[in-house]
Amino acid sequence: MQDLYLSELARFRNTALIALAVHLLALLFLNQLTDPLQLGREASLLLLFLYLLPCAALALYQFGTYRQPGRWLWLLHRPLPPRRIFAAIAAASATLILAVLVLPVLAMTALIDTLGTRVVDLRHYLLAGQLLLFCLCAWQCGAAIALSRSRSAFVILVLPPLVLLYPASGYALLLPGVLCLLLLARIAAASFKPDRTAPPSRASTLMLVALPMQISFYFVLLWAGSLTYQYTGILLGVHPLNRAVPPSGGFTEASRATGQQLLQLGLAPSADPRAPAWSRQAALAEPAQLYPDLLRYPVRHALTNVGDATWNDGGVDWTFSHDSMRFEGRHHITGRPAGSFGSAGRGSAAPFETPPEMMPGQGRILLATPHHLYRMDKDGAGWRELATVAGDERLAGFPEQAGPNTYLLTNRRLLVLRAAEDERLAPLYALPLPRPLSDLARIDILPLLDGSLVSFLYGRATLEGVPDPRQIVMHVAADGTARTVAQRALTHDFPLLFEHKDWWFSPLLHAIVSLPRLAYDTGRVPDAAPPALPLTRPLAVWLAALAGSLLAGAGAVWWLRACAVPRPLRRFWFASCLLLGLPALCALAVLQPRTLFRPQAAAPPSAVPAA
Amino acid sequence: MNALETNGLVLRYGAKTALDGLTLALPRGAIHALVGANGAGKSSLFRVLLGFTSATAGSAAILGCASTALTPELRGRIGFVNEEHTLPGWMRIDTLARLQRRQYPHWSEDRYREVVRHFDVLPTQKVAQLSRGERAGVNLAMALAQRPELLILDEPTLGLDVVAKRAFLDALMAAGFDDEATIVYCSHQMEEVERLADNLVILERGRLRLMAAPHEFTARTALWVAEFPFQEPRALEELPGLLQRQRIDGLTHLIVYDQGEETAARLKLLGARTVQHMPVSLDRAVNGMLAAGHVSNSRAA
Repeated sequence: MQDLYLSELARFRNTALIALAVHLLALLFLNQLTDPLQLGREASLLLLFLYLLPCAALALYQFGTYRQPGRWLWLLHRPLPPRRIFAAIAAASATLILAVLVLPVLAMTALIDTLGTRVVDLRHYLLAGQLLLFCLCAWQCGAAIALSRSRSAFVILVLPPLVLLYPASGYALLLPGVLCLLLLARIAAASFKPDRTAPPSRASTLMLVALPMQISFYFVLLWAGSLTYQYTGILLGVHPLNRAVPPSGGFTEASRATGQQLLQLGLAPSADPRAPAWSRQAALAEPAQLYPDLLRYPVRHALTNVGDATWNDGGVDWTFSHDSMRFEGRHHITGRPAGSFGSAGRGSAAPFETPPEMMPGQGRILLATPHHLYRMDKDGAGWRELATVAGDERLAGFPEQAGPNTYLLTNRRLLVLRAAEDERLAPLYALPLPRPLSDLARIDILPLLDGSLVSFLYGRATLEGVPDPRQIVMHVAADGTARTVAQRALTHDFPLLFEHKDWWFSPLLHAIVSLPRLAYDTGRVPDAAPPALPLTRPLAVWLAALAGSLLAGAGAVWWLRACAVPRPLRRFWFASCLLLGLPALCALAVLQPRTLFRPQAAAPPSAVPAA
Repeated sequence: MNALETNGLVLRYGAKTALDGLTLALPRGAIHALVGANGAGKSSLFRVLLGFTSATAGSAAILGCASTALTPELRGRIGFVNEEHTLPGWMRIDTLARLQRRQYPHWSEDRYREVVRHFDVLPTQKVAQLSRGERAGVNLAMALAQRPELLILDEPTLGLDVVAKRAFLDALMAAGFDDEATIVYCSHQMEEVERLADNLVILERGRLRLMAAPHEFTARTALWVAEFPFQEPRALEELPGLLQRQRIDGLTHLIVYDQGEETAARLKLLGARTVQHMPVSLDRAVNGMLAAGHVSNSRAA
C-alpha cells in the first residue's frame, strides 16, 4: 500500500510542483490586490469553485486513466484488497491537495497573522480546514463519477453543497463536512472493485450509496425541470416574470407596482367610505416603501462574510473581528494598527453581542444586530443606539422615514418611531404584523393628516407552496389604533404544481434536504408571531405526489425485471421508489445495470473435442 | 481440480454475444493454448474468469474459486500478462519491481533477473522510456517472478517485432515452471503455440470449437488436393469433415478434419481425376478450422 501511495505521488510530482508555484504566485497577487481573508460571500464562493475544480479534475484524470481495461487489470489484479488500493490512491491525492492547495492558504493566513496588522481570526484558520474538506469532497466526487458505470453519476456533485454550503459557523460545519467526506469516500470505494459496473454486493452498502444518489437526483431533476419549464415559458412569452405586463391581479403585478399604484389597487375593494379619497391622495403622494432586507445576520465564526465586514473612516479600515467581536482598525496606507472600535465607541473594547450587519452610505453608518440598531455619532467617535428589541423579537430591516415618523420592521411588529432630540428614536406605537415575516414582500406607507395608511404585501413564499398571497391595507390613527380597511387576495402567477414542485416531486426527500437548513444556525431571522401559515397541500398536489410514486414504482418493476437482483434488494428498490419517487428510480438506473438476458439451461462441462 | 472451469458461460454486451454458453475445463499442470479469430471471446473469457466482468449467465471458476469471489490471496497466485503490457509509465523499473516484490509473497528475485536479462533494460529506466518489446519483457519477468500457479498470457507477443518475439519466448521457455503450474497462452501465432502448448483450445464466436493436443489435431487434419477436369461439383460442399476449400492453379485444395482414406474415394466419386493427400501444419489446420466458422464465410463448417 505504501508503494502504491508513493507511486501515485511520483506520478504527479512535477505537475504538483508547477501547480504549487502558480498557486503561490496567485495568492501573492491576491494579497496585494485585496484582503483575501475578508472577501464577500460571492467572491469566496468563486474562489472555492476555482479550488474545487482541479481536485475533481485530478480524480477524473486519475481514474479515467486507471479504468482503461488493461490498466484496471494491472491495478486491481494483485494480492491486495481493493479498498487498500483505493485508500493508497486517495491518500496520495489528499497529500497532493494538502501540499498544493491547502498548506499555501494556511501559510498565507499565518503570515498575515504574524507579520501584518490585518484582522485574522480563528475562523480563518478554520477556513483552511474547511477548504481541505471541500477539496477532498470534490476529489471523492470526481472519483465516484469516473468509477461509476453511468455518466449520470455526475449528480453526486450537488451533495457537498447541499450539506455544507451554508453561512453557518465553521465549527458547526466541521462534523457534517467529515461525514459528507466519509459518505462520498464510501460511494467511490463501492465502485472501486474489479467489476466496477456491478452494484454493491452488500445490501447495507447499497443503501448507503443509494440515498445520497437519490438526494442528488432529487435536486438535479427538480432544478432541471424547473429551468426547462421556465425557459419554455420565456420562449413562448408566457412566463409571469418575463412578460412585459405581468398577470393581472397577481403577486408579480403587485410587487412591481409603484407605491401609488399598489395602494390604489389595495384600496379598490375597500368598503370604507374614505377609501376613494385615500386612493386619490395616494395618486398624488409618494408613499414610503419598507422591505424586509435584514432576513439573515452574520453568524459568529462563519467562514465567509455575508455582508460587508469592513468600513473606512478617515484613512482607517475598520474590520470586524469574530474573535474580539469588535472592529479592529488599520491605517489604510501605512498598515499600522489603529485601535479598536467596540460597541461603546472608538477605543472601546466592549464587544458586540453578535457580528453586526452594516448599512454604509447615506451619511453615517448604520449597524444592526438582531436586538439593537446603532448609528454612528456625528463626530464618528461612537455609536448611538437607535432602537432595541428584546426576547425572541429580531430586527428585520433598516429604518425608513415616512412623514414625521420612522418605521422599523421586526419579525413581530412594525415599529413606528419618532426622532428625539438626542438622535434616538422614541417609540410611538407598533403594529403587529398581520402575517408571518417570511411571506412578507414589502410595506408601503402613506402618511395622512389623521394617521397613515399601511399596505402589507404578502406572497413572497408562494413559490415554496405558502398559500394565499394577499395585500392587506390598514388605517393607522395618530394614536396607533390600527384597523384593516381593505384586503385583496392575489391570484397565483404560477400553476399550483409549479408552486408545490419541491414537495410533490418527492415529499420525503423534500423533508430530508430541508434538514440542514433547520439544523444549522445560519443567522436567519425566524418568524415570530403570528406563527407561520400551515402548509396545507391541495388535493391536486397530493395526487401528483401519488402519481409520481406509482410511476416510479412501476418503473422499478420494469427495470428490475431484467436484473439479477436478490429478493431483499428487489424489495428495497421497489420500496424506495414508492416512497421517494422518481429520484429513486433514477438512482436505481445508475446503480443497478440491466442484463437483458433470460438464463438458459447450461450445457454440461466438457473437456473433449467439440467438433 | 481444474485450473479454470466454465459452465454454460454467457456474456453479452448489449445485443452482442461475446461468450455463448461456453463450457470448458482446463486441467492443471499444462500449457494450454487458446486460439480463435478476433471477437471469438478469448479476452472476454479472461475478464470474466478474473472477476473483472460479470457473466450474463453461467458460472466460471479459477483455481477452484468462483470468479466472482476471488480473494486477494488467490489473485496473488494468478499471473496475468495482457497484450498492451500496461505498466505505469511514470515508474522506474526498479521501483516497479520493488512494488511487486513487496506484494507478492512468493516473489522470486532470481527468476525476475533471469527473465529480465533477456531484454536490454536498465533498472533506472522509466517504463515510459521502454520500447514495446522491452515493456513486454519486463511485464513477463514480473509475472513469472510472482511464481504463479496459473499464468494467463493474453496475446503477449502482439505487435512485437521478430527479435522481441523470440526474446520473449526464449525468456518464457527458460523460466522453468513448477510442476503444478498452469499456463494459458492466448495467441494468433501458431508457431508459438506449436512450440509451447500441450493442449489446444479453439474458440469460435464465444463457443468451444475444439480441444485437443496440437499434434493430435494436426494428425487428424489433412490437406487433399484434387483435380477436377471440369467444374467443381456442388456436392463438394457436403464432403464430410470439410473445413476449407480453395482453388489454386486449377487444383482444388481441401482441408478435411477427422476423416480417413475414404475421403479419396469420395473425391473420386465426385469426379476427381487425381487425388493427393498430405499433412498440414498447425497454422494451416487452425486456419482451416477458424475459416470454416468465420462470420465472413457463408458456409457453415
